[in-house]
Amino acid sequence: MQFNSITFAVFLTGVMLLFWYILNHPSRITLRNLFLLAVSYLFYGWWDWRFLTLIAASSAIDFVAGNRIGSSTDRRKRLAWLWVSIVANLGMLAAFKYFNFFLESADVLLGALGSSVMDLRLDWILPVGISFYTFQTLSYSLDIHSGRMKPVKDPVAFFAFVAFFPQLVAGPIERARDLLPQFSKYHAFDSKAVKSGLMLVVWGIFKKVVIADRLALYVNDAYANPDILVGPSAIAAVVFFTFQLYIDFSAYSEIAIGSARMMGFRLSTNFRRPLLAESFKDLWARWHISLTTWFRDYVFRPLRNLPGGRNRRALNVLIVFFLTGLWHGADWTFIIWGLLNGLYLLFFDTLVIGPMRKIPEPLSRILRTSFTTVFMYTALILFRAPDMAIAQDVFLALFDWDLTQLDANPVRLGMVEREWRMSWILLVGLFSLEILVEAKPKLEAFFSGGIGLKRWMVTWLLAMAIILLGSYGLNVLDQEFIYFQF
Amino acid sequence: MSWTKSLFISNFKESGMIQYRKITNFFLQVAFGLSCIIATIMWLDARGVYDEKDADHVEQRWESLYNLTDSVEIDILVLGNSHAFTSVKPKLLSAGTGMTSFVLANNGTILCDSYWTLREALDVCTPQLVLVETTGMDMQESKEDDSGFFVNQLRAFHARRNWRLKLQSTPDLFNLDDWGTAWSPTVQNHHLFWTEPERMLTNIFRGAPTLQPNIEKLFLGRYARFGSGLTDSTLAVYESQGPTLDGYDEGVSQENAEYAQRIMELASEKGFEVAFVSTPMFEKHWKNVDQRNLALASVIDPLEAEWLNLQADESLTSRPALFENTTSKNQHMTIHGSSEVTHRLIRWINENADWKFNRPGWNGDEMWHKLFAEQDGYLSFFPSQENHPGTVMRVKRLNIRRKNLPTVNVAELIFFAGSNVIRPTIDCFAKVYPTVFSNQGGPESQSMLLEYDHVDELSGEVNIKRLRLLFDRNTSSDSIWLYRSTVSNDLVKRIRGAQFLPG
Repeated sequence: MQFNSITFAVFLTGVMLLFWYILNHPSRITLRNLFLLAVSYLFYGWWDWRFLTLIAASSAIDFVAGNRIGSSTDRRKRLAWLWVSIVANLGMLAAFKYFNFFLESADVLLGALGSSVMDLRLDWILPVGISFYTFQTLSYSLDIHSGRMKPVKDPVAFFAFVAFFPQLVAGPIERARDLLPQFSKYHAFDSKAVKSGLMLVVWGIFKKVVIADRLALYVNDAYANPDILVGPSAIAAVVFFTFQLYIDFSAYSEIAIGSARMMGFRLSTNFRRPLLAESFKDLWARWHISLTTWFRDYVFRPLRNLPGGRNRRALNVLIVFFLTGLWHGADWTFIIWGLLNGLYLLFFDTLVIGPMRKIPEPLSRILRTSFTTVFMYTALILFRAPDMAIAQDVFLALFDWDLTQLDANPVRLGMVEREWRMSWILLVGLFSLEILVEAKPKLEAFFSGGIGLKRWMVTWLLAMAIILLGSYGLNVLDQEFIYFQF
Repeated sequence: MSWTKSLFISNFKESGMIQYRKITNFFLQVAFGLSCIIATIMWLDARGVYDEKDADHVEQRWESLYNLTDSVEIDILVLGNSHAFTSVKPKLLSAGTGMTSFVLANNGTILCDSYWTLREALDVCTPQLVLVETTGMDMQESKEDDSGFFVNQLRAFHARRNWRLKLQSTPDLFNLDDWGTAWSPTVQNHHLFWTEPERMLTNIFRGAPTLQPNIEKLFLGRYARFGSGLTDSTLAVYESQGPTLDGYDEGVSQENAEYAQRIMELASEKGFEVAFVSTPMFEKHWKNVDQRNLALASVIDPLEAEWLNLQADESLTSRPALFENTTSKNQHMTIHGSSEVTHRLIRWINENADWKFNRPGWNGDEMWHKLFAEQDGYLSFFPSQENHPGTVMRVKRLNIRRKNLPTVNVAELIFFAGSNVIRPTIDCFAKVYPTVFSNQGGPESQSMLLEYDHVDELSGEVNIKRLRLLFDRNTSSDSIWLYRSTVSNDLVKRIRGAQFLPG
């Protein structure tokens, strides 16, 4: 079930009605959690019910492992149960997501020796959201093992936490210690929070359907035909994809956060205006925050305890970014993209951004953000390109300024003139809004937390814009959220 | 106290923590907001701001049906997809059976769509026979199919007028996510803002609320497009690439089988006959066609319905001229092909002893004749009307006598102004009673040479012209042969004479 569908709107309305009118009562918390579990499984099963067994299995393993870790004082037993959780979760991820990739990579090496392992290839579908929920359940076992939280005794609450539908398939990746306790509490109806949640949902759908999906038309065209790109169109493709990715994923996060807020749950922030980052360190503190902090807490910090000096730290950074790339996709393009970001963080920030800080503000900030932006945008070519060859074509097209080719393939590619102009207007508008909010954070509350008629007018305008300006309907392929594939 | 009351109210009273009023207030506000959105959309729909263009043939077909049934009953209703409206000539079928026929087919339709089409049609007419073309049964599976065919289903839905039936059929025809698209032209055509803003401006300043379909170009549901048949180069593709369709790949989906059953149930409830018709594709288009036949038979046979499988008719499937010049999956029939198919249908319907139709005797109804009088099929089955505006000249009973040869009786010779053509022409038809020619050949072995006076439009001078009429197998029957030709639109004054020539 897609967030940007009528089906989800009907589903969410039904869930909300039952949740608030019938199930949300201090004496019915287990029943409420059972209900949330059922509707979350329904939400996920709508896509493919067979993979519910994976979520259930992952939940069961971590529930048992967490309790065993928590109840045992024997260090070895605790570690053993932690490994059970790690192997089960990462094993599942490896089997469904990475097995074929590793096999193909091994095959290339073995090819030189004249042998092949391609017969072992698995024709399995990648279950939606597997990377998200396995990391979420894993954080539970890891937190118990490190003593950061105690195991829960209520299996229903735990299963509902793992499968909680707003963030099940594309995050934010919640920490058990933040979200799980919310399943044990009664949530009073907070009219203001519910309304702001609804507005966040509508805003997210607006961003997805009106902006991201329209940019996708151009980006899909460009990356399907990289040979028709020249300087301006290649720049447009790179810029559009960066915005598309950000808007698409942040829209998903906002819909998730908004949906959860409408039921009194609080999810963590996943984006904080990443396109205004002033360095790569800043970028990763703003972009997909729930994943970055997951790697920081569960990979980088443990690695930091290992002996070694400055070089060790650099290696740790590269390991984390290698894993970040690999987490995104089983392909060399993602791995190189991850490593490139690690290198930027290590060297670009020091060598390029550092000296810029000596320039007076605000010029310094503009330069820092502009340079970070340029490198970030170009790195994302690897993220979008289906293979290295296409990534190379798009990258080289950035430097091809033979504009006579634009006669055959105009810079707007397949977009009609009006779409092309409007796309830029929307991007500039959104970007300006982000700059405004960055400069005056109180404005965020002003835009999203309005009251009464103002809020309803804004919601009505957004809804009408979704219906009248959105990229959906006949002859438009279903636009899934980009992060569904991870 | 009912359990619901206890659920809602007791919570409220017990703990004081559930703010029932606040919750209700919120949902009422949401409902009001939704109402405002729906009202805005309905207002835009009513203003026709997002009307896409002059309604196309799908909407014209429905409009035509509603108009026609105001005054004439429909006796034969043909359902199906594009193969139905390109393979069946309703005028010819009407003329051949004496029963008014109408093709209410829709591109790429599934049987579910045909079922609801029939339900709505039964609101305005009471057919005696419903023909269901089967291509939509085995080559299109369900509404889950994501394809451009969906557009036409939406158009047909838009054209339908019975709100109750439209409401009932919505869950059957569309996925929940498409309900808005189905019901609202604004939602459906919202892309106009990007692609055709000029159209929106025209719509806004048009004055009239919505565009009305132009039904002049379409009558009785016919929509024929393909004038020429398979060419040698296309035939060569079959030789190099083999058949396009494989009978093993084309089964009848459970959904289509269910709706075939529902059509039969509707038939027994309303008292009409149902028959299935498989219109043909070129013989080399299919391999393992027996498997396809078996799949269709497995659904049709248990229904105990009649089935005319023209794919099994080699006299049709072997003739390249009858089929659209394509090897793509969806091969339709040419205009010529549709005449052939319709003649087979006429014979099949007329010769089926089990069907006791009430032939309405439309012969005496002037209005009914006007529906078909411009059609060649009509001319072969009925006398032309002298007072019809299209009739340029009509000669009854012309005997062609030649020394030492048998007399050829021409029942009727008609010059008829063709309609629905860009360049005005006059069709000349000669209806001839079967005779024996000196060369012992059939009617194809002869052509008719006609000599007539014509008046030059500019100078007014009278000249003698000759016209060669060729035998038209498609519009001929066992009891009457039709010879025909077309001339430019000039004034015919007097028939000077005629003779048959071999070849």
